Amino acid sequence: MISHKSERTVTCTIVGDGMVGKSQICKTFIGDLTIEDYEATVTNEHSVLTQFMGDRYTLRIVDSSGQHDYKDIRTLSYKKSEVFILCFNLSDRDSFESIETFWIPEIRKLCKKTPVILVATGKDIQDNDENNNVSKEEYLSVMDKYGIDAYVECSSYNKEEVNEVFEDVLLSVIKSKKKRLSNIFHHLLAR
Amino acid sequence: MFKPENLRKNFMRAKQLADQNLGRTEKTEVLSEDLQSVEKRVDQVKDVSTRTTKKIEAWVKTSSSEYEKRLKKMPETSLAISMIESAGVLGNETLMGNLYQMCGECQSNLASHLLNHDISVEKAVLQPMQEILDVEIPAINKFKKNLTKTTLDMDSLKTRWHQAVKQTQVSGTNMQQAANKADTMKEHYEDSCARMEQARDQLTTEMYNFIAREPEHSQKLLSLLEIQQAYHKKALDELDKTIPKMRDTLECNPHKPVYGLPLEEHLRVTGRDVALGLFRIAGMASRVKKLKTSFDAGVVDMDEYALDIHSVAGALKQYLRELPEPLLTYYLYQDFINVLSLPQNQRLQALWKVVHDLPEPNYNNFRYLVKFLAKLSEKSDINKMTPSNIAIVIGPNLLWLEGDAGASMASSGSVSNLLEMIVSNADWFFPEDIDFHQVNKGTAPPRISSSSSDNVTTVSTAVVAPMQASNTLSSIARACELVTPAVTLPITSHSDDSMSNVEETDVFSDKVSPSYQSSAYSAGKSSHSSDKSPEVEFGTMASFCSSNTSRLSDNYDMLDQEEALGGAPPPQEEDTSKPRPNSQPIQKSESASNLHAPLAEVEPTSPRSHRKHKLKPAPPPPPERPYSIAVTASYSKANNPAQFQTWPRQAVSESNDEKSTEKPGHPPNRASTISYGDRPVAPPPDRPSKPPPAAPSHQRSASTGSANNAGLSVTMEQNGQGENKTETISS
Repeated sequence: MISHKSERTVTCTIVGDGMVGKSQICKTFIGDLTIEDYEATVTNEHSVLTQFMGDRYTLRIVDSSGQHDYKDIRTLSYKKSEVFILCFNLSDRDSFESIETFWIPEIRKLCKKTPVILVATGKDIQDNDENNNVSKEEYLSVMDKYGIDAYVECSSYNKEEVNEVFEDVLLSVIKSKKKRLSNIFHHLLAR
Repeated sequence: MFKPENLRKNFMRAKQLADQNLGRTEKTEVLSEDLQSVEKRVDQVKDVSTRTTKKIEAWVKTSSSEYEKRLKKMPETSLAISMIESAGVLGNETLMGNLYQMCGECQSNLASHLLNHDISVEKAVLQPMQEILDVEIPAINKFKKNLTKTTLDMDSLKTRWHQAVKQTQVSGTNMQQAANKADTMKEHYEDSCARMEQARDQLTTEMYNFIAREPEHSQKLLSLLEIQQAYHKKALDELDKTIPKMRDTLECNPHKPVYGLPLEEHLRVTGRDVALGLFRIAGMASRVKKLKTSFDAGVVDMDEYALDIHSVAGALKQYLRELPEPLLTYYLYQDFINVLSLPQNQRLQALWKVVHDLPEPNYNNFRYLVKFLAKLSEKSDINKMTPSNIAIVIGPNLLWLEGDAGASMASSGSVSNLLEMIVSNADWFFPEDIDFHQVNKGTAPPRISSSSSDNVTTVSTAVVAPMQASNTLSSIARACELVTPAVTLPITSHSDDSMSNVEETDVFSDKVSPSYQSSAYSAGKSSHSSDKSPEVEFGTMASFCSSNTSRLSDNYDMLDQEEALGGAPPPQEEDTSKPRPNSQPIQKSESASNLHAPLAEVEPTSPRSHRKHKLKPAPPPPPERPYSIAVTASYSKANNPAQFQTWPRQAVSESNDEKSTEKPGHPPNRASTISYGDRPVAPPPDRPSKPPPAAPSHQRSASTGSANNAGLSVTMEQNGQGENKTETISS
């Protein structure tokens, strides 16, 4: 195995409405699979060592508050963030709608180009009320509309699916780095 | 008319005029300088009058048609009509329609006033002016013409006379004839002179007359202004009448935007003690806009949102957030934050004080909110909203620093902490009962500023009675509809386990007799009328108990002592160090009339509670008070005296609570330190004159059941039993 000289640190902020399962995603990813009662988060930070495509990364995950009122605290971490994980719950239309009405505007106000990954949680849950469930077409259209880089459907309790989320996180970071590099390259060549 | 004489005369005049104009002959100035200026003046007046009349005519839009027709033609009238029509379209019961209606009526009144004004202007100003132009000026003109004519005649005759005189001097002519001619000419001339003078005099008189009437003419202007004044006064009156009416309608319109409105304003407008838009929520989420705007518009279909609790909750948060001043006010901000810097065991007391410093409307609403949140947290196993979660979610909406746009790092955490404390001890902070569906003005329970524990006891007692007696009381049931069916949960003060030595458990039997229900309830009701503040939800049980008074009178002394004992308990530190005296007095009174004891406890306290409403909150309990008696009432299905519940936790969870020192009154060593033997009968000598507020669990709630009722069994624990029981629970 080739060992790499340095491990990169990637900071990502996980946002989305309250109770969609943001903290649970973090917990699952860390490996804590205990199911606990809902505990509202104000802000929380996890640091995880992970490997991806042969590289070692330290993932810093900022678990933010889903309460819209905690804007000041939440946005503190936005600038440092290299990627956003934007969560909504498949069985909670409200949380989906506030993606368009609240979260994307908030993120784009501060970070114009930071990649965003859309994560649909609650894959395992179906609300009894059909209207409350969010269909795939709907969030794909939102993705196109706002230029969201990737989407993942998962259950917050499923380790593999959650891992996939963070793989996408790293992938999009790498991609955006490359893009930036090539942009600079093009820029230099054009001179 | 074409007589040669006349023709000749005219010819002569014309000739004279031409001669005069060509400067060949002199024109006799028949008018003196004064008269000339008067003449000029007359001309000026004439010009001015003509001009004014024309303008006024244009202004008042005179027309000969009759009143009704003219009224219809007024632009104001058409405006009024269209407005009233709009009002009809909008509907008279809506705000906008209402205002349109008022405005339209006002406009039509203004129109009729304006028309009246026009008409009177016409009558009083225009007609006299016209008269000047039509009658007086022509008369003057006539005399003037006459004068000119005669002057011309005179002049021409004069010329001819002069010529005749000249001819007499020319030799070779008929002297005699010429002289005669000259004589006749002279006669003619003198004649015409006389005529001219006559005409001049006439003209002068007329002109002087005209000039003399100038004040009269000027009078017209005055009357014009007077008419205008009257009109404007009337219009102003009309506007004065309408404008306040409209403003009132607008301001007192309950559909005023709810958001961003000062709380007091909203309460005033809606006539409620507790803002309705604030509540009826559970959970939290975001789709709020529609509800928010519908609240603002005043059209809220609650059923529509019955399932959409998140929107409602979000709306609540938004409302709180958009208050111009946070619910917990700016000026108490520092006080609230300071509470957290205190040591743990003093925080609750300090917080209690700050909370009771809130202004009345804020206090009422905050109490409502906290009560509601507490209700919500009761069901935290289902809705996942534990007090701490609620606090985190709602906290930043309740208190923020002035000028602080969002929840700042420093404050939001601490506010959440504070709120968590308050919510988890809601019943201690606000012992009054709240009916969540009775939010009209006056229904809010008065704030209890008295801090004496016996007052609190009374309160909770009275509250507990009806609630327990009939858990189907619709209001309460409805209050719980969103959150919990947990009405039956004993809403009692919980004992301060840390210090209390005895817990007296009154257990209602399964079969609470209907008569008891009604009597207990009516007792609560009757206090409504007897109390100074009729909205008091909790009542004194005085009326209910009065029948028993005589029997109990011999126990009064005891009871007073007992109250003193039941007041504030000692702080925890003392608790362990001092040997606790037994609760002998209670036991005694109870042994005197065992079954009446609960009543006896309540009865004497009620008058006090009236008094104490007005008192400012007393300081936290002084450490010297060594006694506390907690009576917990519970409505248990199984007639099991040992089963009782302690608010807010159920017996099972007590052991958990004991771990947190922050939770009032659940110390680990609750029952173990109790020693009953040496409890003095008399109250301690250092009892403060004003009883301090009870620590959360120091309230007693005596069961209010009439002991005489069949089917109601009241079990009073006596020394040993009581101890046993408390131990059972704490273990």
